[in-house]
Amino acid sequence: MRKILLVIVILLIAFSLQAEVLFTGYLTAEGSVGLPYTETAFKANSGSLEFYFDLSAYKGNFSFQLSSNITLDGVKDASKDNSYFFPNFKRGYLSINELYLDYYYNALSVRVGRQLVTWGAADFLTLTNIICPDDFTSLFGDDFFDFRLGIDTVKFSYNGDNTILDFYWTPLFTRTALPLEEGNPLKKMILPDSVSLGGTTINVNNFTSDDIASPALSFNSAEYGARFSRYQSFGDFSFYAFYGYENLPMMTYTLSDYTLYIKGGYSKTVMFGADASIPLGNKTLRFETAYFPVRPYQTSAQSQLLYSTKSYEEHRELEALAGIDFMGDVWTLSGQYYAAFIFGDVSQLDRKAFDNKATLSLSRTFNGDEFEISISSIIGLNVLDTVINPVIKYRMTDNLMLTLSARIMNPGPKEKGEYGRFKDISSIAFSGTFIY
Amino acid sequence: MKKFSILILLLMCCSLALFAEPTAYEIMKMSRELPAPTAVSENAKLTIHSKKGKDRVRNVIMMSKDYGDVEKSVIVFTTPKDVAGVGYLMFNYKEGADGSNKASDNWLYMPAMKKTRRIVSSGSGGDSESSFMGTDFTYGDMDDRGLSRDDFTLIGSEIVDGVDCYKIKCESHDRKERDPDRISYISKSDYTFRKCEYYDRQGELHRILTCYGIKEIDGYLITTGMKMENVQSGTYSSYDLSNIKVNSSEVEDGLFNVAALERRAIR
Repeated sequence: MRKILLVIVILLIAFSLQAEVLFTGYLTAEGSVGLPYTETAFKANSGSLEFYFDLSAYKGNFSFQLSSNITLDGVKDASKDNSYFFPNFKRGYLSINELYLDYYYNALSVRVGRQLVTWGAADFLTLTNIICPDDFTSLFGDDFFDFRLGIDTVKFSYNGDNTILDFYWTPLFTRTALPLEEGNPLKKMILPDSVSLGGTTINVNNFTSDDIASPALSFNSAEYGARFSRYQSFGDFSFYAFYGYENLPMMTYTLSDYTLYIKGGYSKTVMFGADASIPLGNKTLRFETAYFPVRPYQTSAQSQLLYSTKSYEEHRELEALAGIDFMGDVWTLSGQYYAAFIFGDVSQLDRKAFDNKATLSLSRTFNGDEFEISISSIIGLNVLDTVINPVIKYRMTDNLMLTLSARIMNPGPKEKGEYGRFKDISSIAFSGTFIY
Repeated sequence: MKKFSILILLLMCCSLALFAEPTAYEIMKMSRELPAPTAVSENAKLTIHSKKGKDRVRNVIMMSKDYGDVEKSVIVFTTPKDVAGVGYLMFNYKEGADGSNKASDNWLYMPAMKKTRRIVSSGSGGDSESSFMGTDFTYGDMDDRGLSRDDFTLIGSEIVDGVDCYKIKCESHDRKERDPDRISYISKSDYTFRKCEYYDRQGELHRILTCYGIKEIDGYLITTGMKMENVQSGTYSSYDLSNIKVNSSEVEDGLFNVAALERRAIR
C-alpha cells in the first residue's frame, strides 16, 4: 500500500511540475501545562512540533491537492512521571490529510483520493458530519485537521449555478484515531486500569489499536454518501445520506482470570440528514437534523458480562440542532441547542436515551484582526458537565502568530459526564505558529 | 405678440431647466448610473495600517459581472498565506422601479474548515457592518447601496483633491445602522464619487473614504484606489487595483457560485 502511495505521490508531483502550483503551510510549536486543580497541576502534559504543508497544482481541467503534517508529538502522562518538566518527543509521524486528483468538465467533476469532507451547519457538534472519522488523539488544536481524518474516496459531483450534488464511493475504510498509544493521558480517561464488577475489582488488559478489527477490503464493506445542496436568497438547504460504518468501534468485553479483555470492531449505520442556514435580518439561523434508521450502540461491560448481551444493539436515533449567529462590528456571538433521542429500550446501553447540550461562542477582534479573543463553551445538559475553551491570538506579523489558550473540563455535580471525565487534563497551552 | 410672449416664456423655462442645479437625488442617481462595464476582473492590494504604524498587506482577486437584475461578485484572497483561498461571493440585487431593495446574498468560504458559510445580507446590519477581513472596510461597503435606503440633501460644494464636487448629505432610513449619516462628494464634471464621510449614531465623524486614481479604461471611468480611514481608532485601510480587465472573457458565468468557491476556480 505504501509503495502504491509513493508511486501516486511521485506521479502527482510530476504533474505539479507541469502545472500552476500554490504552496503554503505552517510550523507550530505548542506546549501545555495542567491547571492547578488537576492531577497534572503545573506539569507539562503535552508538547508538539508540527510542520504542515499544502500543495495545490492546477493544469487545464485537472487539479491535484496534497496536504500533510509531519508531527513530533510529546504528549505524555505527567501524573505518572514528574521527573522532568518538558515532555519527551515520543513519537514522530507523517499524516496525509488530503491527496487527490480532481477533474472537471463543465458542471461535472470527479475527485479521486484522500479527501476531507465537511457536512452540516453545526459548530463543534456532530450530527450529519459523519462521513469523515474523528481524530481523538490530540489534546489541543483548533484547526479542523486536528479533529477529522481524510477518507479515501471517489467523489462524483454536479456543480450547478445554485445547486451541488455529490456522490461518494469509499472502498477503503478509514478508522477513527483513538488515543490508545502508551503515555497518552487521554487513554486512561477512556480506558481505566481496573473496573469494579459486582464488588470485585478486575484489572483491564492493556488495550491497543491492534485489538480493533477493521472491516476487510471488499465490495460489501464500501461506504456510500450523498449530498444535495441548494443555495437561494431565502436560505441554503442541504440533504445528506450515508451508508457505512459507525465512527466508533463497538467493544466486546470478556472476562478471564480476573482480567477484562477488550476487542473492538466496526458496525454499519445508516443516516439521512438535512441542514438549513437562513439569513434573517442581522442574524443567521442554522438548523440541522440527522435520522438514523439503524445505528449501533455500545452495550455496557456489565450487561455483556452478566447477561451475555452482544457488544452492541441497533436502535433508531433522531438528532436535531438549532443555532443562531450574530456578527457585530468587531465581535461574533453564536449559540446552539442540540438534542438527541434513541428509540426503544436502552437499559443495556452505555448511554441514556435522551441527550441534550448547548453551546455558546463569543469572539472579538481588536486593531483590525491583530488581536483576537474568543471563548467557546459546551454544556452537557443531562449532567451539567462543561468544557470551556478561551483563546487569545496575537498576529505579530502576517507570518507569525502567538496563541494562548486553555481547555477547561468540569464534571457535573452528580456524574462526570462526556466532558467532565477529562477534567484532569484541563490545561493551559501556548503556541507559536510561523506561516509560510 | 401673444405668440411671441409664449415663445419667450418657453425659452426662459428651457433655460432654467438647462442651468438649474440637479437635485441631490438626481446627482446620486447619475453617479450610480455612470456607464460601467458588464464584467470586470482585477487584482487588489489591501493595506491595513494599524494604530502603531504597522502595515499589513493582503492581495485579492476580484471579479464581477452584471446580469441586469443582479450583479454577482467574487473576491478571493491570495496572500498572506493564512487567509489564502478565503472566498467571498455576493449577489447584489438592483433596486426595483418602485424603490424596493432586495437584500444581497452573501457566502464566505473558509478553506481551513472546508466549509462555505451563509452570512447575513448586507444592508441589514449585522455582518454588513462587521469588518471585511480585518480592514476598515465593512462587508456593507462592498455592496452597491440602493438609493431608496437614504434621504439626500444637497448641502453645498467643496473642492476635493482639486476637483469641484457636490456635497450631499445622505441620511439612512435605518437609524440603527452604525453610521446612519454620510456626506458624499460627487464630481460636478463627470459625476464620479470622490469622497465620503461616515458619521456614527452619536453624530461623530467615524470614517472617511477617499477615492483616487480615477482613470478611463476602455471608455469607462474606473476608480483604481480607495482609502478608508477610521478617525476614531486611528487606523486606515487602502485598496489599490491593478491588472484591470474590462469585459474580459475570463469572467465566466460558472465562477459565481459556491461550487466554484469550493473548487478554488479563482486563484
